[in-house]
Amino acid sequence: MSKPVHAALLLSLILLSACKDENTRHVVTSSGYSSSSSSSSGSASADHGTQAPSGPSAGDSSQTHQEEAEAGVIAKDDLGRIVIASNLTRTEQARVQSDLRYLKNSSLRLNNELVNKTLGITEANNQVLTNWLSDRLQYIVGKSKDLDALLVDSNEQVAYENPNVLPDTILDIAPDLKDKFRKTLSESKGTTIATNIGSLGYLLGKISQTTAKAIDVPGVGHVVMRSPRIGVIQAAAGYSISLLDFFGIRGSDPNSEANKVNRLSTLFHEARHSDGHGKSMSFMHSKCPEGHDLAGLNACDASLNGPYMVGAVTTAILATNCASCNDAEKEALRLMAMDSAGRPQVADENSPGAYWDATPEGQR
Amino acid sequence: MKNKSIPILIISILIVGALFFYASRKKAIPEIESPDAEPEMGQDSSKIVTTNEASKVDGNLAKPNIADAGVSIPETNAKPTVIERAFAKQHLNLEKKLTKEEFAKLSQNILGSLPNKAELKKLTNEEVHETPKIIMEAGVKLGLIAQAIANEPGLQKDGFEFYRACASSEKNPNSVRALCFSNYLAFGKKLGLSTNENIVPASVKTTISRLQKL
Repeated sequence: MSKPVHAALLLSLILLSACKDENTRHVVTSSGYSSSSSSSSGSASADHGTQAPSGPSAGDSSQTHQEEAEAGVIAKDDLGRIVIASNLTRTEQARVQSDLRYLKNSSLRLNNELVNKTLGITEANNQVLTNWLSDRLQYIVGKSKDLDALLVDSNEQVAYENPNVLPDTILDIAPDLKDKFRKTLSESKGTTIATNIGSLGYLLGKISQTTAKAIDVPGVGHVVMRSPRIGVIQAAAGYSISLLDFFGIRGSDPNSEANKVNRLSTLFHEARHSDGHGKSMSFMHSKCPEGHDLAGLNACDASLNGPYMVGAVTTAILATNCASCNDAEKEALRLMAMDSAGRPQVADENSPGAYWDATPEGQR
Repeated sequence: MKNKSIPILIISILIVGALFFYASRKKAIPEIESPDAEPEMGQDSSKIVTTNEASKVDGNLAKPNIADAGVSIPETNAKPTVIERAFAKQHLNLEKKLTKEEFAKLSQNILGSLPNKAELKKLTNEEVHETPKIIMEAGVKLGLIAQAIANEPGLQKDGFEFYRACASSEKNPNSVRALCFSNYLAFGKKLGLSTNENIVPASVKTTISRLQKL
């Protein structure tokens, strides 16, 4: 062939290859769009509890948009005090570790009467808050809907303190407590972050007055619930998604500081359920009264130092201390704090019994 | 002459053909819509902003899921299209300074899309144990208002009016009213505007007072 023909063919190939490149770019973009579409509609797919975290970040390089396998081995927080069970995915384990590390390294330092009274501390700082949490939370397990496999009878006899004293809230539902909890597990929505199952195990054992219950912590074995302070918290589907999702611009990264604050304040709320004795055991929620937005639902507290106020103050102080949160994120966190602060049904802090004795039952 | 013209003819055909092919392929890639373009009422929100658009508008938004999330508006009870448009636009850049007109439009859309107490009543124990999803979504919406005011202090008076309206509405959940009332009082004080303490019930004030000591 002549040189001009060669040149013409070459030119054509270059142009065709340019077309192909453009086409390839388009395919990649489309693919990215559709995969994020399935993930970031978080609310929808997360309801099935199989939501892979969206918005991969440095800390989550292993995450994919497919369901991730369980880690298979336990992990621990930096201080080695909290065991993260093997049935969480590696991403979830890393997220729990990262959240706890965030708290441990926080520059937070606050001496505030409200915070101190609510948490029963003398100063709120990273060390105190980390210890407060790990005193009440020893195991974090992955989601399991099979309550019978999760909660088993141990052969251990436990001499329960205050043997015949149970929280008022529990009295009317005591016979159905396990069924109620089973329902909770099966119905928990994609946005539920965590549930304290340790206090339930302790309560069931105490109600039965026979042998103590044990919780099967994957990777550890059966943990006998001699005290609610043993602290077993189940991470639910909400741990895997970005709940504070500003439509993907900010907060779509589950590891954003704002999302960490959200998850940590939920852990603080749940950790409070590991406290109390007798009537105050587990700081159980009470029915919201007529006139309340959530009237008739078991979503209020009868004290000012119960899980909801613990959640409210920790959300508020962590949000205030959040260095990377923008105004939008801080405002969203403020609303969450308001939601929690509206739950206690106590007239004011001077009301009799406004603050419950948080001393726990049993030995950890 | 004949020998020379054949290659030139072939070259011309190939070039024209290649250019035509290239042009037709490029046309298959959706045109990027201006982020400020106003979609028609009722237009499918997913067409408002695509990933390509978001990436083009703001280089920081290179993550593939951004714009998708930008149109993945809360599943509160419907009322989506108008607010979705506003959000999709607004969310392209949280640092954008809104004009008074844009803020008014956003405010109106958000006021009309906040969850109401009746929606809360439909929830189960499990759904309200932690902050209900619809309240979290309301927080995201109210976050946009807070961000817009922070970005453009000239909107503080408009924000004050927004918060007054939000706090006054008896349909709004008390937590939402508490946040709005708290901001209404704060802006009223800051701007020297008179405020009416009676636009919210005692329970809302109680909620605010519990966190005021922080």
